[in-house]
Amino acid sequence: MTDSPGGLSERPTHHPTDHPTDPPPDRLPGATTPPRRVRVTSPRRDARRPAARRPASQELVEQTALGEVYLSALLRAQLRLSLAILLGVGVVVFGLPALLALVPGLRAVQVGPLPLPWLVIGILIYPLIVVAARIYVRQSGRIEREFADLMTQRWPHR
Amino acid sequence: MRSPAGVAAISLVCLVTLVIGAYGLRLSRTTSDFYVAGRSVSARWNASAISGEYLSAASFLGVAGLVYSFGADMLWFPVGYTVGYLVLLVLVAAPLRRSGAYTLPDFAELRLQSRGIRLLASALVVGVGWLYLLPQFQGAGLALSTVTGAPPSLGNLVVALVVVANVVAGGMRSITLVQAVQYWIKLTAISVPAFVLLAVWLRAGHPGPALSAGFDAALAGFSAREHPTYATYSTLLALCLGTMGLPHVLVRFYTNPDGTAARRTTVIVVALLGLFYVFTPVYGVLARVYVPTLPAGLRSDAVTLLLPSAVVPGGLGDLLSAILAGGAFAAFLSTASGLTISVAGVIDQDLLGPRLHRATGGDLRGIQSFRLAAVLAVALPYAASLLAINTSLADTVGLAFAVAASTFCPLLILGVWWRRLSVTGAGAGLVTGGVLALGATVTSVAGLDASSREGWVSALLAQPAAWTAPLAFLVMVMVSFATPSRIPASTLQTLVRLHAPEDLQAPAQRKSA
Repeated sequence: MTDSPGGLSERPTHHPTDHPTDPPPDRLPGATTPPRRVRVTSPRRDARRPAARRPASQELVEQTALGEVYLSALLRAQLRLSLAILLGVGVVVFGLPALLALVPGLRAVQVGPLPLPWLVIGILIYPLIVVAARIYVRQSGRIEREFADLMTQRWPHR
Repeated sequence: MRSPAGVAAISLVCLVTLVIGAYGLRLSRTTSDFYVAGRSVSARWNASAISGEYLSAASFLGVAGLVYSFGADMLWFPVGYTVGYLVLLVLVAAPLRRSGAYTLPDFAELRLQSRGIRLLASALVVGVGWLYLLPQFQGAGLALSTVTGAPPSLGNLVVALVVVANVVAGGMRSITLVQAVQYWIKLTAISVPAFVLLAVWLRAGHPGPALSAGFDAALAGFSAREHPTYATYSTLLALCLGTMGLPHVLVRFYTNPDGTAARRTTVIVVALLGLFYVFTPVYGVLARVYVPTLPAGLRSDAVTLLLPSAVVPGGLGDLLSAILAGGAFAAFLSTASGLTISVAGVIDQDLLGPRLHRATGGDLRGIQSFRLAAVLAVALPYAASLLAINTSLADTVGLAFAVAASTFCPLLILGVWWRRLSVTGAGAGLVTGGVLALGATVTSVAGLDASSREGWVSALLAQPAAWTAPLAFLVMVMVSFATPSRIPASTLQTLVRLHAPEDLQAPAQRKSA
């Protein structure tokens, strides 16, 4: 028998035998010409491995419904990370003008030779942005590696 | 002020740029080399090149000029330029690289499968690019006339000619190398004089700036900058969202080998930009101390170049001025080159190339038509730069960001993350954002709003992004909801390509290099 395209072979309901000398069970008594003998083999007999599972990445590439689920999961995870980073930086960057507008006293605070707004907006904010960028790159890389692992495993459940 | 050292520095920068360009010419052979350096640039070189290209006249001279004129609120300009790259990193960097698009119109067509959207995007690239080229030429004229006393239009011409020569000769391969070198020239040119000037200032007992109240306080509306809180927010929004939509940014991401490398490169870019921007406000503040009033006929954009001679008259001052002038020229050349490449690429591919090909019966080679497009890309903004312009360098650049934030930003973000974006929705959003933002820009650059200078109208027109960008997003989303039948059939396939790591994708889906 040939493998079905999906690789999942149909299992026969009763266990057939492959000894050619055995009389076929459905042979009618008195029939002049016996029905053509058919060689029947069990898929388990020469199974080199369990029926090959398609790697999940195939679902992704071939646009199946399952692939869409995988893609949605990846998109959601990445978008959640991106929005978290943007929210964190946004609170600082867009919150500072609001803070300075609402608490005018802060504008006049001196830190050494520099007024506080100059120190924060002019200098301190840059390392913060770099740190946010680094966190993002590390986390998004992790999401992608986990996704790649999931996609290339033969048995998707862990 | 006439300074032979300044002339020497400017000539040297122009010469080095041309020599590296000519050297690169020997390396660039094919059309692919010409555009994107054969995609073989390491993350560090690439990050230097991106930063070198990005730090323009607005960064080098404009920020100090704005801080000098308007005080603490202007510190948000460089913050916005930097955060723009962070936004680009977390929302679109890797997907854009994985899309395999050279240019914004390429991405638009790939995602939406529509020639119409492609043409719309091409027109917008040319518009934003011209708007951004304009202050580069103006800055060059300003720098040259400040340092040498030559007529301002000479500097415009010098930069325009060097850029055309370089782009026409070398293309991107040389440009990548040039840009990377330019970053380090610029960083040296801005930091070394800053340290010297700060040391002199400290030894003099760090005298406080002679200024009216409000200069060092945030949001005080110093020097009658109207509605400072609105202006601050709108500018920040424009810069944060506009960066990803600038014509010369996307093409740089193509030189990364894959999406992950694109992310790594962007982090380095953010660090390099932050490092540079720490120095720029120093000039604005020190100029308040040493150059309390501007010489007649000079714009505040020139304070960076005037400062050294005011602090240390004589040879040292001249030398520092010369270094700054050289750095400023590096800034104009690199940004203008990058923009010219992008604008010329679009003109060549979408507007001029096909027609020329038909007209000449295919006699014209691809690279020749690109060269012709490069001349066209420079000619119009050069002509416009000779006219009187109402806004400062950093403000004009800010308007280019506002247009990008109101057009390409929604297209890229929704295109990368939203599977229900329809062709009609994208088109409606681009047109809405483009018409409104460009309209506001033309009005305020040409000074047409002079009668209403006092009020909200002027503030809204001068900093349009706060209302045009959300409106463009809204139109894109609402029209997409209304036209579900115009969602491209390939959407899911495209999103897989944008988001799935490269090694998972079937070979057929990857664009072959």
